[in-house]
Amino acid sequence: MKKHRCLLISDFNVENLASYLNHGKTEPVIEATATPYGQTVPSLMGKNDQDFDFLVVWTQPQSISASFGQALNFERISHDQILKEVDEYCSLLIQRARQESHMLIPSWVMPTCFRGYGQLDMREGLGLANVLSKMNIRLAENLNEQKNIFILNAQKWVESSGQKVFNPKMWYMAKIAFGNEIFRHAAGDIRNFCQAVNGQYKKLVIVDLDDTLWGGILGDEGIKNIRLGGHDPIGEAFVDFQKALRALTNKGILLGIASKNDEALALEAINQHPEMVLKQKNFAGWRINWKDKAQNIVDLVSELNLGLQSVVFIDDQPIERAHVKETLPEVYVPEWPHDKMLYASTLLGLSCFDMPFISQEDLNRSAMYASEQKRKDLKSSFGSYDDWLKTLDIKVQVERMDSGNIQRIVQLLNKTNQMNLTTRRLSEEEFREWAEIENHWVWAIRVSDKFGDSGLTGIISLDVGGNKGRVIDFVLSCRVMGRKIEETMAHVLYYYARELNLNEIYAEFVPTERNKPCFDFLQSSGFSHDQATRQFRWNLEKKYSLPPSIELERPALCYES
Amino acid sequence: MEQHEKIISLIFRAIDEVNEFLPPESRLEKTSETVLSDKFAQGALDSLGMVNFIIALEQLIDQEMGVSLSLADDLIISEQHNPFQTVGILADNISVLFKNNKMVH
Repeated sequence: MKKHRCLLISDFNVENLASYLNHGKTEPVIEATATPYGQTVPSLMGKNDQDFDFLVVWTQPQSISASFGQALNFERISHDQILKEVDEYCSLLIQRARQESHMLIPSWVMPTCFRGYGQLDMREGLGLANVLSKMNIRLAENLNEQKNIFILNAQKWVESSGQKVFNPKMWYMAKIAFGNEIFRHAAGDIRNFCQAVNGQYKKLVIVDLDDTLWGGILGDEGIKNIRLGGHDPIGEAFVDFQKALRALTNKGILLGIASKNDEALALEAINQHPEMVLKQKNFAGWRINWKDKAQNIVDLVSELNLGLQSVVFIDDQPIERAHVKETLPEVYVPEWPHDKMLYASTLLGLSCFDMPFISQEDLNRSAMYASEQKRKDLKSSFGSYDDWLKTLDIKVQVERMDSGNIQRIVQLLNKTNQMNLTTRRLSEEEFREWAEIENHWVWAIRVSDKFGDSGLTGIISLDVGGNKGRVIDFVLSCRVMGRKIEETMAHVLYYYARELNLNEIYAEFVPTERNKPCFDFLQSSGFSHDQATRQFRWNLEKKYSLPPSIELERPALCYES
Repeated sequence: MEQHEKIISLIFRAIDEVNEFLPPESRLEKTSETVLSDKFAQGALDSLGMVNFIIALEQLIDQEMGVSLSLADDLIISEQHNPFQTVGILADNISVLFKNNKMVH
């Protein structure tokens, strides 16, 4: 199990936060070390010589801006001066971020007991709440271009911590700036970050229907009598819950259904009920039948080419939740309120959908799965697989790595498990450094067909030594697997290796629990296989053909001078 | 529930809170004999652990019994007497504080 090594830098005592992180009962495993408090600047100017995976830099606003400290004493201080000090602090953070994979910066908050200027506290040029908001905005603006710095919203922790957010005794007795409740929330968000940055955020919500998506039992009460919308608080609550689910699809989260119901009747309700917010097209897939729900979830997840660890299951029935939780421990089954009016707020409060980056592909994911459904419909009408592929008009576009696509490349590298030769995980900075080494080559693969654009879904990379090229990355999103894109990537490797005057390319397969599809492809690819070394080889005197169903567009090996 | 028993139960809840900070092998047991603070005994809380424990216990007493205490002030540690030494000793000392009404309401 991967251990995430974390360095905590702060101007106050954060040992309690370190303890929450180190002794958490749930994954991921974090090993947190706190620097001595009050040493923020020297610590930031130091070097990451212990190879920490990420840094948390948590300061109080008065410690990074002496002028803000004076403003706290009601001295009249120019807000511009305070913002200038924020800029200086940001320069330090940016400088340090160059040697880090990731940095987390909690936003600045003020003790809730501090009233500042009371009703004038938001007044421009005077209020402390006013200037603190500006400081946080300035922090966000200054760090916006730093893709490895994430600002965590500490105000949310304050709001969630109730009365236990500040305790002066903690400060006087141990120089701890906050009550432990706030550290508990902070630790939760830091854990989420570790999961999310490794692509372990949830990508699919599977919901039940009766008393989950609408009120009542459809089979007993009929479409007209289910509780949904209308002048009914429960009906309105179900509409809001559906809206909250639909909102998730705008973030790239997929929706599915697992329900014990009559499929024809349920789909009729979904498509015909006038108050249904979610329509059939909003669901990437469904299993509506009388079979075991856990089995239905496994089938649905497999159909969508996802892993069970990507799934959240929502059901009003405690017994169904308990069954899925026990049978499929990888699936996240949140405790669900009995009160229907709490459904939407419970969903909106789940942190499992937090993601460190949102790419265009994420935003289009729901539409892509809808296209996939159409492809499957078409496939079933053709006898031969190759005939079907030809009708798809598949276009593969090869790109060199550049500043415009590196973020997506790294995201794909870090979250792809199945078609992944080595499953190496690197930060954007680490990958860029690797790619910049002489004789290292990286190409990205974009795939589209007549049903839609799947976006950047593949990566191939080569390390050239002498007259041989070693394939380091052979990564393809499961969304486009099985459409001869794998063979196309092998052809692209062949093509560029020839351009580089190589004699041979080879790939060393690194097995994981989940990358057997990659092994299976390599075995069937025509590459010669040495079982002892797990190496697959291709002699470049022999042509590796482009599949006939693919239209390929590739750039020249090097930029034209 | 008698006052002394109530105090013991609140001390156990404070132990639950402090145990969240501790590695599994160092977590405190919930017994009257459990050592909380003793510079010579193994398994006692360190100074930060004691701060966390005292503040958690004060908050629980305030919340559950409506009494505001400042234990670090009200219970004096001396060479001969450590009122925080074990769960049982601490409960006895808090009971005495209640009896003498030596606390802020």
